[in-house]
Amino acid sequence: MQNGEQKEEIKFEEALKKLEEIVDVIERGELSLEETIEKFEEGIRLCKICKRKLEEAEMKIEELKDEI
Amino acid sequence: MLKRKIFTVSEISSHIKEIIEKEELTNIWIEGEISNFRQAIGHYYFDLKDERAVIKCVMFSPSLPFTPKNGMKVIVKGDIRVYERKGYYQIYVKDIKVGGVGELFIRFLELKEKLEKEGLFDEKHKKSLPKIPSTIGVVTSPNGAAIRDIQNVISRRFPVRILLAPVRVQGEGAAEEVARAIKILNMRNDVDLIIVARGGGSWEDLWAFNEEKVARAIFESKLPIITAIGHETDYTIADFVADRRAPTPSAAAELAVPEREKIEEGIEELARRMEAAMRRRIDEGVARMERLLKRKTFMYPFELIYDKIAEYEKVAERLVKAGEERVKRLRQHLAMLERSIEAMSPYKVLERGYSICFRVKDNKIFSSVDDADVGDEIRVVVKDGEAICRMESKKKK
Repeated sequence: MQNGEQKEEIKFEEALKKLEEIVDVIERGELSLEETIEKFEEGIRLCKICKRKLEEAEMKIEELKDEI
Repeated sequence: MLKRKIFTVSEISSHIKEIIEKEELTNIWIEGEISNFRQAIGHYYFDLKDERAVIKCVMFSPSLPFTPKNGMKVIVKGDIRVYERKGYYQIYVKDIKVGGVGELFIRFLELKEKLEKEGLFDEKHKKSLPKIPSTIGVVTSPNGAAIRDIQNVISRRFPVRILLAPVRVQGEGAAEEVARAIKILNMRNDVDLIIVARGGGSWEDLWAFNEEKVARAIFESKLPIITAIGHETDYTIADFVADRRAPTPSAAAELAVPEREKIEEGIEELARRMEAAMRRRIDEGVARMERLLKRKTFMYPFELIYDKIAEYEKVAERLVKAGEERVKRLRQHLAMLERSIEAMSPYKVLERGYSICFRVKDNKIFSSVDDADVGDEIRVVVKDGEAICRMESKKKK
């Protein structure tokens, strides 16, 4: 559960970077089949996170309240 | 030395040229008023004058944000060179700054030189920008065009959160506010990029961004900073210290965020690559398994055993053969032994007419006259039997 929450918290850029790394690793083809499948599943999940974050992205404009 | 010779005009002219065109007369800034301005085939020709002197100026292929006019107070940057064909020296102008900004301009140059020496502009200090920031801190006026331009570009390209740090961008206290805003944004943990922006204005209007405070705040910022101050042709000290300089606020926003469609395409591409690689990996596994199944072990599993049996039989045969050989040899040996033992048997001599005598009382060999006394019984063994005899007499040799 805690793990799941952490994954929700991942930043878009971080998720994208991780996804790139996973694709590289899978493409190198040095992992066992089990590891490949594990990475693949993680990759798919990251893809979904990235797409969702992209869809959810909306511009908010806030003003700094601190006294400048 | 020069006096001992008569020169041609060209000779002395080129000598003068050598004397004048020195390093110290290149890239210098000169303040004055423009007069006698004219344009010809895209070049500017004018005089730069003050109360007491005039210097001819020429500017080739000028690219200035304004057209010089007679009476304009300017600072020109250029090299002093001799024009031998006409016999005068002139300024070959590279840049012109307008306005009664002489003093400010000197301060600008001095500060620029000082900070440059300190290394504040060094490439090695330039931070790279985040690919996709989640929150962009924007230091600018809340009422200016800059924030509107940035907002427009960001909502179109890639909508992210903008945190506006509202500051005055000109006049008394503007530099302090800008520097403080940069520090405050750095203290938060939700900002990952800062844009410091200001729309166009005169040299004096932009002055806050030439102040040391602002330069230091930008240099000390841990967050990457993009500056977009004034027009494309304006360069402020802040621009030199910033990690990236954008010609306009809109351009700064474009540097700050990527296009959403491009990122989406990038993700699609990654997903495609991942699926293709996964498919390859599985195909590879299947192919390996198929290759394995085609091998003898699986195709003809008994063949392996047949081989083993044949091998075993061969060994067994060899073993039996070796055993038989050995038994045969032992038999031969035994027979030989038997024959020699037989040959050595004392009974063999009986065949040849000898006899063996034993004392009857204790069955010991009787081979000496001392072995028995007169009257003792002696058993005489011959080849086909034995006889008991009694000793009648004895005589020693």
